[in-house]
Amino acid sequence: MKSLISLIKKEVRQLNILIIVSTLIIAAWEWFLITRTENWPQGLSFGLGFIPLFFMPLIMLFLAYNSYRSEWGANTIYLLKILPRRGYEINFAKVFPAFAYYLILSGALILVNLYFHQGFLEQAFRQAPEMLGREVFSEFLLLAYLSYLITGIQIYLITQFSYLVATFFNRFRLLISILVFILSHYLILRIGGFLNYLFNWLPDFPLSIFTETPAGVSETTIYIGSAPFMVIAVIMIGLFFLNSRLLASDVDV
Amino acid sequence: MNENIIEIKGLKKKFPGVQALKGIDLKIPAGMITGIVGPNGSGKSTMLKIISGLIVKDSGQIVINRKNKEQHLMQDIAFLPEINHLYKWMTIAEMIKFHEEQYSDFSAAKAEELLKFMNLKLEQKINNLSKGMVARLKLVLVLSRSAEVVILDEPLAGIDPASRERILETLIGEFDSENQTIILATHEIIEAERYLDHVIFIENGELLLSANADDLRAEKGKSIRELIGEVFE
Repeated sequence: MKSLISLIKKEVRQLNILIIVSTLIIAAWEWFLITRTENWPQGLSFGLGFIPLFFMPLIMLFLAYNSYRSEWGANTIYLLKILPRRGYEINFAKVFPAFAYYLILSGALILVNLYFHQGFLEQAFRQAPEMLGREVFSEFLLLAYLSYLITGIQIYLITQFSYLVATFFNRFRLLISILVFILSHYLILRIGGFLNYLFNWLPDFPLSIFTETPAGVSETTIYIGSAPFMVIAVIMIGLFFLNSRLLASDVDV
Repeated sequence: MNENIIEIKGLKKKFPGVQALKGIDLKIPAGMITGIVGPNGSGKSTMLKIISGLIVKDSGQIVINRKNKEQHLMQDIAFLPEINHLYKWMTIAEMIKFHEEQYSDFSAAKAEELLKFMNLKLEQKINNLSKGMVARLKLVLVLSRSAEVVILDEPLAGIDPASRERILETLIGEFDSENQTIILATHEIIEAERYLDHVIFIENGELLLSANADDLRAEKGKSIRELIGEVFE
């Protein structure tokens, strides 16, 4: 455990600058919007507050591509590969800080945005109480955030896989990485479609939707399948171990 | 300890356009200092990297201390690569701590003792070290472990003669022949020759010779350096 913590600490230190810079930029953006809530329409600053969420998957892509490229570039891959650690330990030390950063920063951003726009949200709930119940909003937000986290980890692991596959080739590594990245997404969609059948037995998430009709307010329950979440989790775990295996046993330095 | 610490059978490796190793069969005796010599591109480093798990072999078998390479984690091997493989943003103290946390057989006390002998300071940043200082630090990190197999790939490359002597003296001073085996690939055979117990000649990915150094000198009536000159010219 001590060795794994030591590896994670090393990774965090390597990510230091990126974490600090991106956090400061996002904090500055949010602060700017908060100071504008009085002057701008609140819906505008609320919406703009989520813009960094669109960039964070790109940061994950950069982190993943750089996770091993920087080791190869500085020859420190020698140090990593001769450690008496399993491939999954080395890879976990890479994935964990990046994902923790993604989770904490995106979560904090959403919470800050919700907190500073409570007035706007209260007003929205009052104006359309039947359409947008607090509970429904929270449930949708939670599911959307879960999907967002899955997207981040998916981008990270596929990018990492693409880079590791490209190391098998001496030339055109970037091009090969891009091709593998695109192909991997396609294959995951195809494989995911088949795997979906295997997890159909899982219970779905029920969501109550209230709609206003001429006859009054009616409640409808919709179900969001949990199988796709399970499928993507299985694929991501598989990809994590595949990347670990590629690193430990298949790629040359 | 076994008679042979490493046994290699039919080891092959091909890189694009070049067959780096052409089916090497080799036994490396335990408790000795084995020197692997050969010209540039002969396959020395490739072989050592395969033993250390840095490169994947195409075919063949490697048995280290009766354990198959596939089951072998790097706990039994201390490898010193030719290049600077250390994190340049770390200080020497941080690198020592990192090694202490990663290797159960690493002794921080021994490392500090060796650092003093090598004229290195804990607070120095690796990025600011000269090539010779990095070479000395790499050696400190390897020798502070009590690994059964110590593999040194060109530990003297690019080092000034005075430092080379110091490095070799440290190496021999720390060598525990009861429990350790050293495998040394080097071009600097003049300095290293007197310390070698066993020599292996490799050229074009093929094993030319593997013999006890003293037996070879007695049999041929020549120094290893002279023999190398004859074999590789």
